[in-house]
Amino acid sequence: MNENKNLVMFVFAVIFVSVFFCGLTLIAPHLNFLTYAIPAAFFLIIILNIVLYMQLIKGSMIPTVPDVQPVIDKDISSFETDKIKYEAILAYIGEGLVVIDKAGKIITFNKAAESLLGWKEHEVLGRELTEVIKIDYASSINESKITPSRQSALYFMRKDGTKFPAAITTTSYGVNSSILGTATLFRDVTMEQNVDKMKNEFISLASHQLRTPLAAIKWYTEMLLKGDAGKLLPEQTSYAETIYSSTQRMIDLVNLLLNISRIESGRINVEPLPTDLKKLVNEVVEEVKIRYEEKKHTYTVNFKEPIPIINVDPRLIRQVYVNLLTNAAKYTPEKGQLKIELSKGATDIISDISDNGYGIPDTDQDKLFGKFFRGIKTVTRENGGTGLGLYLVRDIIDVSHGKIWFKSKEGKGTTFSFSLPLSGTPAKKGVLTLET
Amino acid sequence: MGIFDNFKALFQPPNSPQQDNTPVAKPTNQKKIVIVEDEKILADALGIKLEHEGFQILKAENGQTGLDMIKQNKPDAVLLDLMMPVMDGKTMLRKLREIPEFKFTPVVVLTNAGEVDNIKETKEYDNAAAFLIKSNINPEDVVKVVKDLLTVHL
Repeated sequence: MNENKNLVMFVFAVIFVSVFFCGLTLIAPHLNFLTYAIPAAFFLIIILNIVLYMQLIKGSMIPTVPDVQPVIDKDISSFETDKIKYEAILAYIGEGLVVIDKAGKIITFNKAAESLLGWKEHEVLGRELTEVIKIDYASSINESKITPSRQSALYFMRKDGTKFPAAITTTSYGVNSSILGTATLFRDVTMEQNVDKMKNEFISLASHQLRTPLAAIKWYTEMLLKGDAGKLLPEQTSYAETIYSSTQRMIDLVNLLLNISRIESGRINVEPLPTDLKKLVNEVVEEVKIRYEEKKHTYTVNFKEPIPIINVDPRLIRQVYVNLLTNAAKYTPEKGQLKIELSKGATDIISDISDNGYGIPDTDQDKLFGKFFRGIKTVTRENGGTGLGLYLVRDIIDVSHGKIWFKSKEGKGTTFSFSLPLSGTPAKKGVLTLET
Repeated sequence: MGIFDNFKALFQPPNSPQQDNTPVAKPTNQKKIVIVEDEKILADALGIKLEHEGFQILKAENGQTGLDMIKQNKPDAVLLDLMMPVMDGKTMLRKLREIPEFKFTPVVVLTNAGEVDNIKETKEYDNAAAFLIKSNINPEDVVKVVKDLLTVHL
């Protein structure tokens, strides 16, 4: 377009200059042509330059409208598509989404939230969040697992008053540092809870079913050993003893699995009683002493300060000491030194169980309390482990509102420590207790 | 052993003799024991053991036949399983205690872990004399418990 205009103007200018010179030669033929031609050529060049310059400035400063309009159209339409796209994503996201503004009013309520809560979007927009999402705290507390370290679900009430367990994530949103509201994502975890329950029931059922045949093997082997079927030869006795001890190991494993499934099902009874930890520890030491003697370990039991009587469930805590004291003996080579020490802190009683045994490799340390976890080296050293002992210990300490930790260096030894609050363990009504 | 602590707590015989050779049952003066247990192999094991100790043994495979057998034979003690077909142990015990004659017959409940979880539940089980968890004990332990019970009841 611009080029065309310039061309037209240039043609006009050439015609004009040509006409001017032709006229001049006709009117004044006595003048030499060159006298006029040189200044005229300069004049022409100047005019042309000015014209071109003006065109250049014009072009760079104001974009011509018909060129820009499609770009804007395109932007607007992509913005619209984006908006629709994101709205669709939010609306059809599998989890319920409720967004509130700063005043707590609902501004977004997606399809999943509609179907989970039974409210329609148009019924809730602009309403207070708390009017729409009601939480059944009583069920939430009853149903929540007793182990505080595990996630528990809150119970949301639907429009019709029925409820469901929900897993929730709430995040606040905003621009820069100013918060504009919060977005809550939630989903129904009934399925997960059921699967979890089924898993526990399965373990429980399988364990119960295993018990009768295990009891039968144990009983009959014992009867063989006791001579109920006549005196055994030394070799027969030794075989029968092996059957007996292996069966006992299997029974212990079944008991352990049952205990874990009980604790995890949250149905365990926690019955705190005034407990003398000193007495309890001494009893457990008496019980495990035979293992210490087998491996020629020396051991010391030390109560640093007078240990007050505290309210804990003695059966549960007993299990903790049994497991830790047995582990110390197990994972220490012969003639090791074991130390059991109880001390009273400001708010807790701390128990330290130390050995100078194999220690725990750094790579194993963070997995130590995991279910079925066994250190690679322990597997080759010890046959008797299940990978459940410490897991159970951690569970028990959790329900007792204590803490457990350890320090270990490979080749040097390990110290396990746990604390129990002086204020005691709160009671928890359940229907089950531990098997010992 | 934990089992025996439980038993003692329940029954509290202050100085009850726990010796194996307590002269409780002699073949001439046989004590009758009814074993109510649906698992035949376990019932047999207990039967063999108790017979060796000079007891007379009767076996029932469920609560209903057990109840009939007890009424008919008036045993000195009963070993009772809990989970059984036809009539479970808990129901049988309740029905048994309804009969005045058997109100104080010593009953040892044999359980699988998880069936009876709290010693406080004893009351629910109409004063059972003891709870023994099958996989955690030996027939010999049962013999001891039975002997203790019968010594005290003599």
